[in-house]
Amino acid sequence: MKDRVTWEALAWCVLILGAYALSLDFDKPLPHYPPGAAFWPHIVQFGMAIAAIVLLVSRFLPQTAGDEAAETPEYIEEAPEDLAGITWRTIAVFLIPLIWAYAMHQMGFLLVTPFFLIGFTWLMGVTRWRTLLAFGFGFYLLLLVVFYKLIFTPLPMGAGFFHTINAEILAVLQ
Amino acid sequence: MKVKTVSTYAIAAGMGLAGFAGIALADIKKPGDYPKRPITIIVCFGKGGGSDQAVAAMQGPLSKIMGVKVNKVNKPGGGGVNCLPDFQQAPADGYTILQHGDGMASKYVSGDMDLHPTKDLTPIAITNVAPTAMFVNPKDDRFVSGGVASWDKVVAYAKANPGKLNVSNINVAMELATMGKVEEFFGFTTKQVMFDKPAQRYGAVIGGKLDVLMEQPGDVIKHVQAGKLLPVLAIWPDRFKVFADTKATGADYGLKWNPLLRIRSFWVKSDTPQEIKDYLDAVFAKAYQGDDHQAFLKRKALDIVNSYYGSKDMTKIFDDAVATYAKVFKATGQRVRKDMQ
Amino acid sequence: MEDFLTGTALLFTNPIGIGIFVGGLVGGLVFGAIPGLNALTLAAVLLPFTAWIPAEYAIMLYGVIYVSGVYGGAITAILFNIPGSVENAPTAFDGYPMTRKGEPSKAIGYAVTCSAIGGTLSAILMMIATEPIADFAVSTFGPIEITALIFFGLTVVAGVGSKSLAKGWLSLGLGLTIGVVGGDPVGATPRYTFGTLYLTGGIGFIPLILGLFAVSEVFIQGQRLVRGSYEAPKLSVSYPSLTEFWAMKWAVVRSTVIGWFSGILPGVGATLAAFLSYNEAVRWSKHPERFGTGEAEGVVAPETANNAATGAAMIPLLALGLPGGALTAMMIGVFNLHDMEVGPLIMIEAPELVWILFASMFWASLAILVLGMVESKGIVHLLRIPFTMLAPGILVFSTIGAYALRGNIFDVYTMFIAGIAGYFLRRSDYSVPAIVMGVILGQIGENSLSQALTILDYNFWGFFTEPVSAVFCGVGILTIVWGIARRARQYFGS
Repeated sequence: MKDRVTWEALAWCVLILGAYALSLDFDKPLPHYPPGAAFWPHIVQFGMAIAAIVLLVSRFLPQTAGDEAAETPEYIEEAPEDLAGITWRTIAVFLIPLIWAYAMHQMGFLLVTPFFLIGFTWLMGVTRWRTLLAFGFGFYLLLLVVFYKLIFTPLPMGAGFFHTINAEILAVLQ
Repeated sequence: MKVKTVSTYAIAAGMGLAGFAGIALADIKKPGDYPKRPITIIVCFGKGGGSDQAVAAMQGPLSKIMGVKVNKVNKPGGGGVNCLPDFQQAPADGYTILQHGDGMASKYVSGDMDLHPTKDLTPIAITNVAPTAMFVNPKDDRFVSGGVASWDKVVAYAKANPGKLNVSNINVAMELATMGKVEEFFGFTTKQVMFDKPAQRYGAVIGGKLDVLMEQPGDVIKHVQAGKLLPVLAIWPDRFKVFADTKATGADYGLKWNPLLRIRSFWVKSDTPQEIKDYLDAVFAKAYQGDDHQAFLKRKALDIVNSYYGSKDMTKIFDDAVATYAKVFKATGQRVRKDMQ
Repeated sequence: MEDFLTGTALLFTNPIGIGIFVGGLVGGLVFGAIPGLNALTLAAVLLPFTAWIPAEYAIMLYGVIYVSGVYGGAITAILFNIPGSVENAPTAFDGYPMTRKGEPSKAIGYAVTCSAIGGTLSAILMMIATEPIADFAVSTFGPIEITALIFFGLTVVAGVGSKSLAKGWLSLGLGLTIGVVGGDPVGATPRYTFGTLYLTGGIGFIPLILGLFAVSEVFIQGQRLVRGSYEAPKLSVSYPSLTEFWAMKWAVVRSTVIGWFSGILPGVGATLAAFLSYNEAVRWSKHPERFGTGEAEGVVAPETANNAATGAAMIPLLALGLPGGALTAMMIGVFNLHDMEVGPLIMIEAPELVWILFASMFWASLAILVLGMVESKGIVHLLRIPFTMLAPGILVFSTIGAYALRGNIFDVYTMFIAGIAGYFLRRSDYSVPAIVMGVILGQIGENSLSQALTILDYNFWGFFTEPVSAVFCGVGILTIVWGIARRARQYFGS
């Protein structure tokens, strides 16, 4: 546990130093504000540095009863022990939405969303093709009706050629 | 702070209207089957703001003339540059139109974005033009007596207390450069406090926290009518008709200078087919003239100066604006893009 | 009183008026109850349509959506650990544990009743006090005072959500750093944008909240599902008894007062109200250690406060044109679409419009009580939808919610990355609420700090010579000292 605190404190130090280093790019006085654009980030980094040092020092302080029954309420959920370790499925659960977001940006919401719906539902453990297709396309149809037909919500249209395809579909829907 | 030249950015009051009057619907030649599906106008500012309203006022008339739906898509953020990558992603087919304003010139010069407003894009039309004025709190007896605000008193106060006059302003190149010119001409320095939200900017002067507000008259006309703000200076060759008692930099103080203006305008990508650009040029002119749109301009006090410029004039205006902002930014020590330094 | 009756009459004598009132109420509740979407999404997509309905009904619609949405956001916070909006975040701290314990209906019962009480009291106060208070607020709160207030807010937030003081401050610092991304408030100099224009507008807090709460919850439960350790929450439809309500009386009074006064402050309104009120509930409680494990008062406090803030938020909005948050900012848009500017003039120019708004917010708060009671029995059945299908649904709705506000694809990336971060952060002792509040308060705070420093000639002592700001700075410093002293006592004391 104590080693973990050390590593965390060091990670914070790296983050703070990195943020400070990047801030040198814009650390210049502004015409109407001499402290400049880096003034506030530097205050934040200074405060964080103190907190990181306190965290590091706390690693060497003896554990007290107060740690267990701190007056501060505990809002956080108990650490889900059952989720220890990372499997390929963990990575897939994280990656598939990100890939969907990127694909949506390039090819448009309308074209890629059915694939995402089916893919993610399959990942969640639904393996019957009929259920997958019915849910995927059923839900997609609901989205089309609500966000294109009832209330027009501008969603990503994709780039170049895909933009045109999305626009043509949109014209039909509208 | 010295602003050396702010003279080339010219929209002289008379320029622009030539060839504008009397475009009949029948005269507008349709380029092939364009437009056959809905047009999208990307607005680079938030819903409900000035740009949003400018587009909303054109949406109906444009749709009526072109016979297709005109969708308005707001993509606010980053002082109006967040919207640009998505606009660039769209094909140059005339179905995606960009709405922006004078910021396209200043943001190009500062290097905040790389799209040149007349080379990488083709200007279609300017539909809003607004000059700038200065306002004070009517209860401020340093500057106001008998219900009349005196710019002379503001100048006297600013000169007697160098750097102490607080100006409530926005961090936009047009306003900053205008304030710089006012300081230079009247020979005083101020302390400019920057607000990005209009309500806070006005509230600071209405609540007596700051001394002077710089703003376009149409945006605060209701506060003036409510007796919460009082105009004190028109930054314009002549007095504004709406504030006939308020002195103007030109007529009353002899400042010879073409003022910078708040502009709201439309672009398409430069590689859009020429016949589509010509068609849009004509369509925008027609939509601008409509009764509904004219009523909108009147309500928003956007009829103080001529508010319409077609593609050719807009191109010249923005070329001038780029040159002017480059000079102003260099003179005032602001960021200038690398290839213009 | 006469004005109020006129407003009420305008509201209910026209079938269109009644239709829009009911539509707004149900819309706010339904959108609030769909995980990932919230009243803000509804308000954003409806905005262009308001141009076609009469001004008084358009404004009234937004008043009703505001009231019902603030309550609606509590439903998903309780059922799925997905706050509909930032001001519902503290509701999830105890509301969701109550659901896991099998008491979702009870938690919703508390939320609905307290939202209604807070909202109704607030609406009454709003009708009495809008004009005098607005004048006081605008002449008292300038950039210096707002900066001091935000400083105080930050010191409070740092103590929320983490057992370790250092980790609380580091979480807050992380939030403040995220808030720095984008153009600086004075010169719009790009900061940490890595050359992309998408980041120049900064990181939006709505996608961040959706990511840290909604998406990370889907990831956690999704992982459990694929590993076979997922347990569907138990269902019950028990409603809190009158005795249980009576035990909450002081919490309700305290939270209404906190909510109302926080609500008056532009920019921080309901969010600060909910967090402060939750914190105070913990501080005043005889059993602070029970908070976070499904303590009913942890639902009562923030839900009373955030609804109490709704009426108060109308004061700076109507009188000064200063919005308290994203939804009230959209209300300015509604006024603008009808060629009206909110501000000092509105009470004189369009009194009937203001009073129909006031009346609608009052009646909406009362209606929530009835509709909410019915809804709380039915809505828990949402938990019956198999998670395998709920999960992609939540992700799609969250994505639409995140994208629709600014039309920026980076908001979607931000949301998913925040979801992954939230997955890991929730297993640590770092405070997710402190991160979120850091982003929100940091963005407002840096802006007003730069204005205040310009006014004060860059002299920090100026914050202590202005009376109002001196009080907030003083209390803020005391909060820090108190936090340190308490830790010190644990180490070195008894």
